[in-house]
Amino acid sequence: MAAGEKVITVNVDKCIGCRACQVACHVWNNTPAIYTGFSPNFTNPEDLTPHTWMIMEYKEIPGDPVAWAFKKRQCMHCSNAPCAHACPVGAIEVHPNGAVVINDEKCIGCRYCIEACPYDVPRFDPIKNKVYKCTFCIDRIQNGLEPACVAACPTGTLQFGDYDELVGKYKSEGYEVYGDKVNDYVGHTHYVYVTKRWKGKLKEYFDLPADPRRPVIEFNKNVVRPIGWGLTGLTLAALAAHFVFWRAKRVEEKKEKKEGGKQ
Amino acid sequence: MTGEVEMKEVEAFAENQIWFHKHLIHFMAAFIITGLPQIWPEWFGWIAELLGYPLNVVIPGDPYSLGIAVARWIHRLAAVGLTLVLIPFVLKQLADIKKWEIWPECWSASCFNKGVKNLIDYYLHKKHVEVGKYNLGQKAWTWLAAITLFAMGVSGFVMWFRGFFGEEAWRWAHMIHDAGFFVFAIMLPVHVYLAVLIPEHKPMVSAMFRTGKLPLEFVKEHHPNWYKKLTGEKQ
Repeated sequence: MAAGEKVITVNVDKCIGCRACQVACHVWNNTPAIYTGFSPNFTNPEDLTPHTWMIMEYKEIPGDPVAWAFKKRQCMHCSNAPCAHACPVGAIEVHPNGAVVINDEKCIGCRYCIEACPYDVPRFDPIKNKVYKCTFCIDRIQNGLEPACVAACPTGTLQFGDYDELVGKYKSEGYEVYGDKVNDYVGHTHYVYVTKRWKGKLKEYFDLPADPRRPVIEFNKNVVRPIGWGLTGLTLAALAAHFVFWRAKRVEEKKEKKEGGKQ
Repeated sequence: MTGEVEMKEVEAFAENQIWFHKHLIHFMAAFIITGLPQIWPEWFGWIAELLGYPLNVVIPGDPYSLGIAVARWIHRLAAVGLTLVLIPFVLKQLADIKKWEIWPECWSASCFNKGVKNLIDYYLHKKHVEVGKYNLGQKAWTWLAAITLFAMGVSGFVMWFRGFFGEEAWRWAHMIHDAGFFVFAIMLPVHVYLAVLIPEHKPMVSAMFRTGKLPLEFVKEHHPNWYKKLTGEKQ
């Protein structure tokens, strides 16, 4: 990874599902709490919202005894952020430290970022006509602080640090890692999940897609647009050539007519 | 055309068609101007800036974003305008469906090959060819334009009112809208070029923008089969 890249590692083996991170996120970002209902699996609110940028998801792992998997869900902060590529006004910036941040002053609420995100993260606020998501606490990082969720974590599940150093440490200790190499669509993520307890089952138990992508978006970007521009260019070139050809033919015809008239 | 008076001019385009074509040009111009900064901001972002900076004097925010937001609204208003002028046009056209000259003359492969040969002979060899009011290329163009316009309308509707549709529908609509743009990006220059920059076609342009009528001699020279049909009806 490039120098200066940061990472938040989520060691799911240590998580107790206390939601301190979720509360800290609300507090630091000054996002209002929302009314929630009964959730049969304890995830509350049940999904991300424009004002809830991270949630704890609770999942039962079958076995004897049944185990709980606690998944912290938020923006993954992709290095090749598809949301940033999709934004028509450049409102989404991928910072050198890895944070993918929506500048809400620039956002026009088009929701193209939502179309592009393979992790289904950005959320649209119809009242403000803007899209919101986790900021990686860029404001804290730039001032030498840890992200709010990391600072609030009581068990050391969440750690913040240099990408290579922290991910390398977990790898050398034999953890299964998700995020350091994902695919060409998202690159690598700056939220990295690790486990030893559920080694080999990390993706399955924590709903982490092995190959996150949006095929229609990719087809549009890699096939429709290049072919479209190419054919448009060819057409314009062909018309220019035809114009020259037709003009030459006309001159030739005029000349023939003139010569015919003389004879 | 009048019955007993000798025919000198032929009605090529009805008033309704001229009216629609004129407005289509206005709306297409609006679509192109406001669509280009959205699909190719690297080259046409200046249009968004041109729209955004003056408005930024009274509306706060990022001028570029403001320009794109305004462009998107003009784009949508143009779509509403085009829909409004399309309604009377389509109704009139449907009423006159039997008079349409854009149906294929026949469906066989040899017929198609003949149509292609006519196109090559006329546009590449500048030869006289036996065609009706429209040649194969013009017919294909018209059908493709109508289908693409419909696809642009449907996909644009999904993108505008996306709250009523699922996210996968947004993605498909976005892609179809982009693909439709490229179909028009190819078809419109061909259409405008063949109409405006080929001097032999000038009477057709005058007919579409002014009188609606074509000199009979022009029809005889450029559209012999149509000429035969017209004069045959009168004979």
